[in-house]
Amino acid sequence: MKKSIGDNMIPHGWSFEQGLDLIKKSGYDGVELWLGDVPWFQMATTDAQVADLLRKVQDAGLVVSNVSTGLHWESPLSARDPKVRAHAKRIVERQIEAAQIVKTDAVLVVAGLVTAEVPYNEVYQRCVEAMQELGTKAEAAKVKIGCENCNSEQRFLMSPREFQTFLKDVNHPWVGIHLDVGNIHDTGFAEQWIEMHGPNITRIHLKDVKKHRGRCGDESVYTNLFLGNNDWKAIRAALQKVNYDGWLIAEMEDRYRFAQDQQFYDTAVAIDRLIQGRL
Amino acid sequence: MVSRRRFLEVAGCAVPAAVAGGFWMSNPSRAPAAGLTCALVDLGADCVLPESLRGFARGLGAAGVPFQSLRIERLCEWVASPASPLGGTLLVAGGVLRSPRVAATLRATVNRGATVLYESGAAYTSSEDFAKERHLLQNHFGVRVDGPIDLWSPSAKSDFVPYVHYHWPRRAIVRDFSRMILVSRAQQAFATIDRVPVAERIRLGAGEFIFLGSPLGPHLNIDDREALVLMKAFVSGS
Repeated sequence: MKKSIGDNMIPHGWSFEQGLDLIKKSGYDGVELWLGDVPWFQMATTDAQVADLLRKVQDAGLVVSNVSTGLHWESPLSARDPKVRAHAKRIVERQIEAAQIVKTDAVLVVAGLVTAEVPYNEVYQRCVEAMQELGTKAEAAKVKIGCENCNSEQRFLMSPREFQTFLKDVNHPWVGIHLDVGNIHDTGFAEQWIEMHGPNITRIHLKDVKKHRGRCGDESVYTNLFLGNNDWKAIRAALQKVNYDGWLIAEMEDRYRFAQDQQFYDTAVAIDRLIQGRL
Repeated sequence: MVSRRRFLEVAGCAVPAAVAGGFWMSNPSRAPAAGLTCALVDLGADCVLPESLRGFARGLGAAGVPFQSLRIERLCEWVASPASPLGGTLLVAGGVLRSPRVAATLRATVNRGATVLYESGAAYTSSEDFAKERHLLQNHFGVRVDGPIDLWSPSAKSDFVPYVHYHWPRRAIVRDFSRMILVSRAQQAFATIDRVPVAERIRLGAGEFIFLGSPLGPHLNIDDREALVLMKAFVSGS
């Protein structure tokens, strides 16, 4: 397995190149690019500028592990307004185009958002239809779409079996799951999600979770690896069981208040120990 | 003149039984019962909620209602034929009325005995398009509308109940669809959100015009039971 971390973790005020240098020095193999979350990679960023990002990544001795985005929280594929849905699809298409340019084969998509306004059944139907359509585009580009499990935040596809049914309904080999082992909170167990989804996992996000801590003030439910309630031995065993040998991508919500670069080093070492089984 | 054969060729047919029974047949005495004559009109670029069009097709299929899919251009041709008697129910889903020709065609259809159920999607278009629809609705059908209102905007009333209450053609409760168009000075309003009328029926000529200001089709697309029962009632005229 290989280690990666998001470019949205690069401390504010740092340049992309400075961030890449830190990522390389702290021991990662790759970087996850976040469309819309960082100044250097926006919807308006041209193909040539994206190619320049790849050049910088390669100059730093890294590769791009995948292309993610947080833009679908504002413009969900499940919106009632057809114009918003069209924009949401365009975001995925841009991710796919960018993935081809930066020579990676996976994108992360937050597939839908259940709200008081837009109920579950509508979100489900629209997301199935959107993924079927986008799956065809992903196939043509040879880039897999990984729908992320954002269980509590999305209030959608809360259980592994429910997610499995969703993927069966989408029924497209180029649409799978980008599994976040921290997002499961107290709704289940990450190792069970890994077992159930095995070959459909496109990428894995790593973070730990304080299952009994809610979001309150600046207190995050998420925390650094090994500080929370995830059973990392079980997670590692499940990864072995399903022969997962892909990218492990660090995604921290809670940032170090001081010496922010230290979080990169600490997380890289923690992922090494997870991979090596020194738990 | 568009012949019946030509009409059936161009109209397409979602359910073969509909052709067998015939929709707006040239000999009305041979027409099947009202509940079996139904067409779903695709407004093309003027259908701003394609999801709703799919929903009605899905709902009609689920309800086992024979229907024909009909592009608006074909309806315009058909109505232009003075010898074509009309009847049955015409469903126009997720539309915005911005073409006087389309409005005139729908009005002519009503005049000649059809029931036209017009579901507006104009709340999802520009204010200019909404203004056009408001003008055409009033001029051709006597329906006065206001809005649209975004029920879920932060400035909206916070304690509204997000359901449309229908009391005709049968009692049913169906979710809102975020934005609604109000009918004002309605003589025969039959649905409300928080007691505000959002649907109206008007008898015109030999037929009837039914206006829906809160989309129903998207709920049919997710197999909402109440929406399905309601749609069946609209089609069967009960």
